[in-house]
Amino acid sequence: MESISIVHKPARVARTRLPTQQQVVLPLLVFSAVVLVVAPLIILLRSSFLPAGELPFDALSLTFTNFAAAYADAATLKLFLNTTYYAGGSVLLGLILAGLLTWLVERTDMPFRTTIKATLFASMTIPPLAYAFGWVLLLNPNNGALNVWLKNLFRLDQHPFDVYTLWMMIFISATELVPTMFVMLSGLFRNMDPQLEKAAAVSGANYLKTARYILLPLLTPGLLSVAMYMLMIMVQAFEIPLVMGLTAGVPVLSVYIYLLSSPEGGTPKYGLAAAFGIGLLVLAIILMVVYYAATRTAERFRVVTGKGFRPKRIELGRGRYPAMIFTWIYFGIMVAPLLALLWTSLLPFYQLPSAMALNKISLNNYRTITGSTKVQQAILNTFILVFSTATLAMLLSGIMSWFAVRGKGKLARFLDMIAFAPMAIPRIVMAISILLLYIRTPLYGTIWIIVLAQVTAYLAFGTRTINGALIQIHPELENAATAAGASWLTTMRKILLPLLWPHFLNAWLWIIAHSMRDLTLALTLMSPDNVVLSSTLWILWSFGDVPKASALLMLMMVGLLLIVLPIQLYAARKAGG
Amino acid sequence: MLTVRDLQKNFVADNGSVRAVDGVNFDVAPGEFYTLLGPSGCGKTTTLQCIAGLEMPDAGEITLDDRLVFSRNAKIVVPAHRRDIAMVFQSYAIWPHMTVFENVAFPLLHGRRRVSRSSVNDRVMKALQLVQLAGLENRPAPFLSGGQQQRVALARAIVDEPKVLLLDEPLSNLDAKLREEMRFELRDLVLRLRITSLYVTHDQIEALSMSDRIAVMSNGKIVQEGTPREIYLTPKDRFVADFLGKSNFLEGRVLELFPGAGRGKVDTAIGTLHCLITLAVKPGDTVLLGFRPAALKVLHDGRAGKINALRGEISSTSFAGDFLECQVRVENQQLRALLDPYREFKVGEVISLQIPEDRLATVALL
Repeated sequence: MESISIVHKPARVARTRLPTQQQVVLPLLVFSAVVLVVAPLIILLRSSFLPAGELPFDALSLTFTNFAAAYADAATLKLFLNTTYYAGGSVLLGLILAGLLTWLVERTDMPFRTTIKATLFASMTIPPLAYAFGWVLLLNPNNGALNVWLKNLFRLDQHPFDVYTLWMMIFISATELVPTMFVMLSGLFRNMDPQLEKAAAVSGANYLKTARYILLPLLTPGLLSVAMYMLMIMVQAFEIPLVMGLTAGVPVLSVYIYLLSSPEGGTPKYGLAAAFGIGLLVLAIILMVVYYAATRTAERFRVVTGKGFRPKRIELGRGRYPAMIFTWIYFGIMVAPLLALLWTSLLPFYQLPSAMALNKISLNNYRTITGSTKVQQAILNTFILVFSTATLAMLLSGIMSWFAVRGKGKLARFLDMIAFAPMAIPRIVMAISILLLYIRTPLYGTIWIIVLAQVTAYLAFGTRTINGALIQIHPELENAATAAGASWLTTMRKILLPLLWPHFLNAWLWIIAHSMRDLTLALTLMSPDNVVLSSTLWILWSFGDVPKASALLMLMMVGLLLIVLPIQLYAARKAGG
Repeated sequence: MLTVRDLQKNFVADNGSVRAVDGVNFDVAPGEFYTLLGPSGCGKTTTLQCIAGLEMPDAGEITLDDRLVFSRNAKIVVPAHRRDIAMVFQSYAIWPHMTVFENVAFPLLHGRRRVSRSSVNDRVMKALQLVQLAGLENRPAPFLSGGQQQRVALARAIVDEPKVLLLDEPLSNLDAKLREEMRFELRDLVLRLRITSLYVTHDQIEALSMSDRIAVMSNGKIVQEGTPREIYLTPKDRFVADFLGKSNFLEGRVLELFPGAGRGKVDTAIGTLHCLITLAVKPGDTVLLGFRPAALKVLHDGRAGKINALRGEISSTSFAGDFLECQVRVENQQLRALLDPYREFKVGEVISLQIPEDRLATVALL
């Protein structure tokens, strides 16, 4: 006879168990990650098979016409080539300039090293639009100030430069990349163990030989990984190609996709835009894979052997003069467009610097622009945008990072992957995807759709920052709070947040600065009600109101500085004390 | 006070699953000082973390103060912060962004037994006094020495008067002298406060000198449980004997079992010895005998008529202060002996030795 097994019940039966805080937060987190990152990509894929003139949720039919139209066209090859030339060219030139500058600052006894370093750091806050506008003012073929001067000075028949060429785009983008590259490279140069060089010197090699056979091979993986990272950023670069590339007749993918979705006349071709978007996405993912391979090699080659060594600085001697001239020219190149902007912003209409023009100088543009209700609305929108984006992105990043670093199993790895995915999704592709996903919702047209898009975009940066910080914190600090009887949220609030606070603050600031200067998302998702400063700038510029655009750009840069500087000083003091 | 039944915990590793805790059972009585002792990777810390709720066991039951806090079968998991325990961590886990006072006050302000603000001050001060840190309450945590951090961790653990205190190698990061001091202080404190303590360590001296009972663990299992005296003097198997210091081992054949007494006669390479029989053996079986180096007695009045008396020749000596460590050759067997440091033994000197029969016992081969 089969006996009936009776499940033994313990004396004290557990009360109906409430889910723990983690069990509540985790599904919400996975849900928001999927909504933010995965859903738009699915819609993008769906839209690329959409018949012309349809929206993703309206039609059920599938068609390959978009892909056929996009990839059977010879012009598309040109588009990809343009993108490759532009991105590759600016990264290569940028790397040469940045490499030289970093070497001079980190490994030689060139004077003013600290000042140069600080200036480079500060210049990262300058938006690409400022360089784009400024260089157009200096080097446009009609009345670019520098062009006219040089023409008069050397009695040339023609203007010597044309800003509307691929070469100038590459040159301007390269100079703009240098500060970021400097930051990435300086660690690499600084941490090189001088013993490796000394060993080569002892075996009789001169400095050039040492550089050629020891330094360069050791640096190559690091340089490669920086190059790949910058390439990922440059294939989706938008501002400079938008301002110059169209007139130059060298459209790149990002600008082309934008034009398809927001044409100046006619209806948007979302299906075609999505098909191109898939292409750009594939390109970005390939770069991402190569980047990962490169960083892995860089890890293997890591020349960081520990602390406590001061790399030997090369004495430049007479060589210091060319070195300083090089540095001054670089800074001249960086400052010139800003000066052109400042000058233009003070005049009623654009004209070359002259005594006569000097009499017309006034702050009128600043007055008109701040008095305009549209600009006021844009300023308000920008405030809402940057602060909500930074705060929401960091909140989400913080929680995601915790689950990714402390969590175990597949879900943690999934979350980490989702958070990093936006890194590989070009900005314009994300903009189009989000537009297509929300176009029929009330969210579309409000500032919040831009917030949503930016939060997704900055998730990768936020989680990378917090992941790195969290790994440094011993898990026993949290376990101690749990063992003391604190709930998970209390532990997060009372233990982790205070410990990670400086990292949160820095990342928050970084996102504010980048959120304010972003044009891709703001412009693609623009409607009359959600215009922000960067899109206002573009509107003013494209309507030819150059002095007002310059004035607004100046205001924006000063405003950003006023937000970033005090908080950074506070953070630095807090970290120091 | 604390009961652990059939506890199991697996970890997923690259090459499959690793059973970190493999069916562990033990009971800790109220007020008892119970120690899990074993080499690193034996599962002792994982066991502790399962009890604290920081790790989720795969099977078994854990009862804390008559309350089932984990049961696989009954599907009960009380989250860590609702378990009535306190814990001291190996890294001390002192929060660096807080002062000493804030660290110690944390369980009272955010823990499971919160108290009114007014009594927080009194309780924290009392706890700090107990660990002899009165006067340091306003010092920021990063400005504490290792020993002070250790005391803060202890104060934080006892401040809300927990029923059970879990200690995860709390002394292993201190230097040797401080460690010795803290050993007695810690033991004294929990005894005075009558806190049931579960202590995890790989250090045999700590385990022996502090515990009421010890469970020696290896490969996720408890291999022997007993008082420090039992564990040290009559280790059940060779692993326990080796882990708790040095031992002499002799192989032999059982000649005779004395009725009732758990004793017998074993034939070994150094002669026929009387010993304790702690294993189920019968005459004719091969057994391993073990005894501690300190078990050997020097006979000053000859071996005649004495049981287990041996003739040995000193083959090396090493003066260690508290004792004289010698290698003694007996019938071609090298034995380790701890002898009186006040007497000088010379290499080559022939001495008479005895292993008292209650100091020699059978040891399982593993």
